[in-house]
Amino acid sequence: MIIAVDGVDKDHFPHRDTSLEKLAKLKPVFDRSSGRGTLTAGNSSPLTDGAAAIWVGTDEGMNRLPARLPRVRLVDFEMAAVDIFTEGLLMAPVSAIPRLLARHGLNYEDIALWEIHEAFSAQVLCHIKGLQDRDFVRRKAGIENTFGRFPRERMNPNGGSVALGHPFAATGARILSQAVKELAGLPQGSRAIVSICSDGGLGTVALLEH
Amino acid sequence: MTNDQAVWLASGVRTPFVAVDGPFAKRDSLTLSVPVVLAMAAEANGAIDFGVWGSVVLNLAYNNLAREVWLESKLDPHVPTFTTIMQCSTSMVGVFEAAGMLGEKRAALALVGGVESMSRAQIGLTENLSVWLRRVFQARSMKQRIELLRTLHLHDIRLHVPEVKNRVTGRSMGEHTEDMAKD
Repeated sequence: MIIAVDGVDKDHFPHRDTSLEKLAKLKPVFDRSSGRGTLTAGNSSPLTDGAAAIWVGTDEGMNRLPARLPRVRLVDFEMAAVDIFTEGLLMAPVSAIPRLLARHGLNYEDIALWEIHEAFSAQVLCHIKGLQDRDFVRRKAGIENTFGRFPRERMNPNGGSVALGHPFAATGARILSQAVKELAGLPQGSRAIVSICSDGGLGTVALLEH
Repeated sequence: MTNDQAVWLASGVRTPFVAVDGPFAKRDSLTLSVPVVLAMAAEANGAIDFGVWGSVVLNLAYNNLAREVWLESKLDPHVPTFTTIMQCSTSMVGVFEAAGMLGEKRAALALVGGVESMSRAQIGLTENLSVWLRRVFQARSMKQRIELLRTLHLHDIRLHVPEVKNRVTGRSMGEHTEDMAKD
């Protein structure tokens, strides 16, 4: 999946010499004064240079690609937006995910793989908390369904944007390509949700099926 | 989805992801994209029907980055290529756009992706200073140029430095996320 450019063939991230102890000692970056700051350089995605691509095609289009390339079906997608003056800037996926699942009669446990973009680890935790809060989902997404337990153990199994880096416009292709590869290794019929939150109060979510 | 045909995603390639001001500091969004697009094109055994590309940090030298990348890669110039932006969702929404444009007797295969060259983010002039400079260049006499000097406001003489901040709130994503975490 990674091609060498200018003699570089490996990601810079994650820092291989780090540890939980070192990460715990990092100071908050965005709230340095209240004593309640949570976001550090260790749990925020780093400023990153990079490029990524993915193929999108019909059956005919896929026949033009080598059979060895992992491929899965894009079943459906959803976009959402929130009011950034009154709601969390990066919370739009918490509206989009329930709408997408409800449209297909799916619960959280029906999804074998969750790839949730991490601008910040705290934002992912906010998403999970929101997704598990039935009242929050009802108010924000307008969905009455109960989706059950959120299976955290199926989320970002090979690392997300905090670990891998986040070149803004490349992240969509990176996370989808990664999800395709991971999902293609799961049993036939397995499904994945791939989610990205964006500045401006925006969010996009894809439902994939092997 | 309205497409009457199944739409498939096949995994693509990417550059290594490296720290800002690191080994790709000499490559802008255009030249950092080319190796990826060339590696993708080398995989296709047949036509690529169109391309979608994007970058969140803009470059003053070009607006349709996708087209510039395609031409710089010396691929078939008859292939349509367009640029899309939706912040961190840019290349995901590019996939959604592509999915909606595929169909029988239309396009069958699209190459979609994105790039970010944070190391080469351009610093520009404020809009008012840019407009003022254009008028100075258009002036036909020294007298006109001197008169224009009187119209220049001190607060407009500054650079526009791109920041990872929301324009309307003036706050960074990190500051917003701190609020989310505390709520």
